This record gives sequence, structure tokens and C-alpha cells, in this order.
Amino acid sequence: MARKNRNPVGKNVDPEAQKKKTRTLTLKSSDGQEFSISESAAVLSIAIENMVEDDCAGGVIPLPLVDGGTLARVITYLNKHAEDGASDEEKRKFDEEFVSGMEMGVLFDVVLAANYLDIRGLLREVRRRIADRMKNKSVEWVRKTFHIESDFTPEEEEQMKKEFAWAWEGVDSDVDD
Amino acid sequence: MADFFSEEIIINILQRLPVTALLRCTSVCKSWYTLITSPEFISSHLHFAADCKKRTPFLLLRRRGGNSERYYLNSDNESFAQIATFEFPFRSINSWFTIVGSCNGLLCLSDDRVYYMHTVILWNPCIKKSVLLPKPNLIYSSYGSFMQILGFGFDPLASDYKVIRITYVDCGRGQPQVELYRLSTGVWQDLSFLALEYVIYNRSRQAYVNKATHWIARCTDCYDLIVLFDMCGEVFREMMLPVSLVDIGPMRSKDLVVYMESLAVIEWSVLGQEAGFCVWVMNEYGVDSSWTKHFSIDLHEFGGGYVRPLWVRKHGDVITVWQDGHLIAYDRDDAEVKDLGVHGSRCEDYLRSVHVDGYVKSLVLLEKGSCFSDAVTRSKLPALRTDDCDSVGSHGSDCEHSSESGYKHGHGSYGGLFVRQ
Repeated sequence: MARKNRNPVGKNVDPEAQKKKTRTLTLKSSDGQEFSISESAAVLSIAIENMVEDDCAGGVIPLPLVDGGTLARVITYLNKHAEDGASDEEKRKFDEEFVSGMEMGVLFDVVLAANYLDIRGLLREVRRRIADRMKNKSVEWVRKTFHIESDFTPEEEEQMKKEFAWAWEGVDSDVDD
Repeated sequence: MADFFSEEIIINILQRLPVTALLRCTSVCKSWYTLITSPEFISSHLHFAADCKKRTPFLLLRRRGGNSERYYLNSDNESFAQIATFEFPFRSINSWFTIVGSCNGLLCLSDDRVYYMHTVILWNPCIKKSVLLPKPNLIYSSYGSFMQILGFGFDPLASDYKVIRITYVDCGRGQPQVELYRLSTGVWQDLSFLALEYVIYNRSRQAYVNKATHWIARCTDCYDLIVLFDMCGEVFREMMLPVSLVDIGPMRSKDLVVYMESLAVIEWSVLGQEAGFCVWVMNEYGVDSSWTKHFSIDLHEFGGGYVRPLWVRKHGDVITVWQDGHLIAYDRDDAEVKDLGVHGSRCEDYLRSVHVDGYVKSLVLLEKGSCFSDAVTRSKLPALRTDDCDSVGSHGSDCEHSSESGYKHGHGSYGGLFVRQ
């Protein structure tokens, strides 16, 4: 589906864009919470934009895969990025702070929501943050955080550790930061 | 929660991780192992790393230290900070290897500086994996004296790494022999039917750009040009040098380098009034008229201390090595001279050993089994003892000279002289 120019710049005010700013949508989370959001902010999510364009939205857009807490965070992000006059530098700073305080569990929820709602910028930011947290962590920390159980035998594990022994040097403690 | 993660999300997170973290992550579980060691992941991780590299590129620095050669990774920013040291696992009869090229995290090393040992290694220092190439078909015991040129690069269509070897026999008269090694097949194939009309200069530094390996060559009509080997099409082609570099007196040298992913040539001289260098960049690949003189620096006032230029950095300054062993960068904008904080010795061996190349950290070769470990490669290297030679001759005594003139007495000719343990 063709994407419309969602952030028109320049002197000519696009009447359609103006309408989007004033029009409000209601998003409904998996646990039944409802959130109001301007259409111009909501359509930064490609998935929501498609629903609006297909006019299958009706009054309320149900998002059965996103819980209320996560949706509130996502909406904070969308509002900032749709804000009039917010410079790229401001948005970059906002993104940085937005993800920096999140625990891994929250980052996981947000990455799933951003993936489902197809919000490219947020997805990129959160993935980067997760990778950043992981990069100096132990294998045990990664397993615990991602809820993965090892299916290697202790011998196999020992063998792999031996092959790349230097990669196990200088690993951080398992305390989450 | 993580059960909900699609493979796509996992891939997108993992490809942002540095190489060492990924090596650890291979032991998280079998599915991660399979994912991280798959050619598809290795390739997508490389693309991601290459994108990051555009922002903060790495430079590989090789120099001799003590009795061995040392490999460092430095960041190509203002500080030139050293960010990693690679332990060098191999040994060379020639004191150090020739770095044929650097591509996608692999270095192609050849032990051919003075004596041809036919030891060519593809090495990924980040994951300590490597492969020793088999001996090529044309060697000293099969032919006699010859001169070889090597080139290394990647064929993205076949996802294959290749080494091209051009061997000039009969002092460059007649057609050279051409052999191609493909990592996928592991053997040298004779491609001598690719009639190459030009003589690539001995020790012409290669530049791998746009899927092709380039060298400076001389054509029979006595002008210089660029010869390239297209790694995908497996054919030779030629390109023009900047017009003013086509014919140059014997006092000036030319080296190809890669500058911001473009082909560039540094023309330089160390002598007297001529001392200095200029950098030309081919702005539009393959378009001869797009050669642009980037800048030139006159060094004669600095008084004879400069040995040779090594590389053009991201910001356009040129790294050079000086007689006292320092690495110095010249800023093109304000002609400022900057000491890069890398100090070596004045000894000739050290000065010649310094090499700078572009580098990107990658997982290439991780898909190969444990038989590609550095330890296995090392165990396959020929022992540096004279009784391992094919023959013991007397040709070796003038080897240093013969390497300068181009033609060498290949494997087996070093006959007990200059053997370094």
C-alpha cells in the first residue's frame, strides 16, 4: 500500500495533514484500557495507518497484542515524534532518554509492540538498546533474560567455551543495570 | 515472553552485537548457534557492521615488534585510539607477511616478501579462524624464477572469497600464468587463457573496490594504467590513471588505496625538492574523467625524514611513516602535521613492516568447522627449516636484490640463508 507523506514540510499547509492533527483516534489495549491519540501521531505506526486507510477502524482501534502499560509508553513516543516543531536533535535526545530507564522486560514488551505496530524508529531504538545491554553480559544472563534453556550438554558447552576462550574474558557481572 | 520473539526480532537484535558477544551467544542454545553461524546471519551482520563502519571506520595497523609482527585495530577518528590487539598466530620465513588485502574482516597474508614460500593464508583475527591455501600449480620446482602478483577480494554474487595469482615468467615476456583460488572449492584453477597484456608492478599494492581488485601496471607502450580483476565476472579489465600520472619519472612512486569506498591513488616521492605526495580520487567509479586531485603536500621543507605514505584517513589526512619510526598524519585542510602516537624503531625492517589498511570486524569463516581454527592452520605451515626445502641451491644469496628487481627464485631456493626461526 502506498504510504502518504505523513510529515509534510514547507509553506503549503496540507489540509489533510491539518485534519489529522485535530482528528482523534482511540486505541484499546489487550487489558481493555482506552487511550486517545491524534491521528497524526497514531499513523506513525504503519499498522495503524493501514487500519485507518482501510477504514476498518470504526471508532476504536483494538490492539489485542499490546497491554496498557506498554501502549502508554508507545503513545508517549508517538506523541513526541508527531509534535510540531520538535527538532531532530530533540527527538534523538528524547529517544535516548525514553529507552534508557527501561528494564529488559519492558524493552522486550516495547520491541514486540513496535514490531506489531510497525513503528520503525522505535523498533530501531529499542533493538539497539537491548543489544547494548547484552553486549558485555554472560551467557547465563542472556539465557535468563531471554528465558532460554540450554540444550547443550555440559561437555559441548565446555568445548565451545574452549574454542572462543577469549570471548569469555572481561564479561560484566550478571547484575542488570 | 521471549517465546513470542520471532526469529526476525532476534536476528535484528543479535546483528547489532559485537563479534565477541556473538561468539559467546553461540553457546546460549542450539538454535542461536545455528542462527549465528549461518552464512545468512554472517552476511547480514557484516552489512550492519559495514554501515557502522561508515560512521566510525577501523584501521588495521601492522608493524614489527620484537621478533614477531603485531596487528592492531585503531579507530579512524581524531584520536587514532588503539581498540584491539590481535595475537599473531603464524610465523614467516620473511620476518613478516605481505598483507595482500583486507576484505570483510578477512586478511589475505602471503609469505613472499623476499622468498616465495607459497604460504597464503586467509585470516579472520576477530574469531581466530583461518585457512591455508594449497600450493599453487606454478612454483619454482615446476618452473624456475618468476614474479608473482596476488589479489584478494569478495564475489558478492557467489558469496565467495577469491585469490587471484598472476605469475610472470621469462622476465615478463610472453603471457603470464593466471590462477584463481576460490574459498568455496579450495583449489587453484588455471585461468591463463585470460590473456593479460600488462605487467603489474611487483609489490603494487592492491585496492579492492566495487567487487574488483585493482593494481597499477605498465603496458607495453610504456605508460602506466590500472588493471583490475573483476571478482564476479572473473575477467581482467583496465582503467586509466589520472593523466598526469600515466608517465612518471623513476623518482616518483604510485600506490593505490581505498578512500571512502572510492579508488584513490597516492603519488609520492621521498627525494629532495620533489619530496611530498598528492592524492587523487576517482569520484565516479570507472569514469576516467572523474579523477580529481584531492590535495598535495610538499614535504621537502621537512627535510628527508619521511619514508612513505600508508593510507588516506576518513577525514582526508594521510598517514605516513617517518625514518624515526613515528606515524604522522597530514591534514589536508590546514597542512597540519599530527603525531599519531605510534612510535617504532628506525630500523629498516621496522619501517618496511608498517602497513595500514581498512578493516571491518566480522564473523566470516565462523560457518567453517574447527578445522579452520588458527591452531590447525599453524600446524599446517611449512616448518622454517632448510631441510624442508625442495632443493638447496645457491640462488638465495642475492634474494634481497632479486626481490627488488622483481624476479625471484621460488620455493626451495633460500638454501639455508636468511633463515629466521
